[in-house]
Amino acid sequence: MDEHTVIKRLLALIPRVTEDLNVTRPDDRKLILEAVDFIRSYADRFHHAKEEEILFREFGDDLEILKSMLEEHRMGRGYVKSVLEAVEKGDTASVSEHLTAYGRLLQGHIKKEDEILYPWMDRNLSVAKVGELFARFAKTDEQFHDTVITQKDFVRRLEEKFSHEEVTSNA
Amino acid sequence: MLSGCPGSKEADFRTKDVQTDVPAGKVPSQLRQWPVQLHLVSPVAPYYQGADVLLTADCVAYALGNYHTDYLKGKALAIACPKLDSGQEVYYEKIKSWIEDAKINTLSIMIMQVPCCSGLLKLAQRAAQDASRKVPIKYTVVSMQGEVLKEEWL
Repeated sequence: MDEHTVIKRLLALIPRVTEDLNVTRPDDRKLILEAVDFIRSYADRFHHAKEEEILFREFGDDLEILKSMLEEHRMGRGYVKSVLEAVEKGDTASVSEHLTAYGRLLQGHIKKEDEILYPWMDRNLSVAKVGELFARFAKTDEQFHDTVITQKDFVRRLEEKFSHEEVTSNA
Repeated sequence: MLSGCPGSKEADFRTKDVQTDVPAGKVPSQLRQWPVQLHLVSPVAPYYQGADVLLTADCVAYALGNYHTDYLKGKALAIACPKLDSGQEVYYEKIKSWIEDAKINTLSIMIMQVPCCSGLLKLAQRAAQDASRKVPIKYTVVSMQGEVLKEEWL
């Protein structure tokens, strides 16, 4: 799964997104709603669904590390819900606070998965099982093909926007 | 005549301590097919269909004491030598055909630590990259004295 790379690119932009943010401005509000759409459709429905419905199920319900990862998924959903509620109220400070908290949570979460959980899983899955999971992931990738294209494009555009703004402000 | 190739350099392990307190008796073969040489096999033979395929450099099975039980068990096999075999473009086509036509589940590649052996891994990676389907690829590097030096999914 290479989704972590894309998600980390979005997380890296959160400080830039929240800088000078004012969700009563239509463009800023649109930007936050697009970021929430990325988190919900790509990071959660696509990536976390692969983990929760396919990968984690191979290891049962009793492992503490998996319980902890699932709890962090739930916490992430809570932060995103709070971001949306704050957008509706026009509360910029609350949007920034919850989006920043989401970013911090996911950065730590991805680090734990990349450095501890996934290597441990690799060691404990048979070659045949890895092949089976790979095929199931490929089916999910197909199902979410359009979402993946759209959301990767959103991250690319966001990177370009901030990179362009940086160049302009340094000129 | 000795060449400068590290893969051809003589090494003598006769003084190596060999563990002897292992269970006595015959170790059953885990081979489930014939032939095994990559030039001789058909990539779409029934035993490759949907299989976990093990592509092993010729010398590996001699160096690694637990090759049958820990690596060959449950897999369809092909062997090849990237240093001495000719016509390796046929190998490329066969590996590609495993992935595309036999729709194998996984491809495991086992090579020796000597530099020339990495050619087999590179060949398999090229074939897998060019294939229209993707499969997980694992590679294992074995030392001349039968230790597993590296084992990774690509």
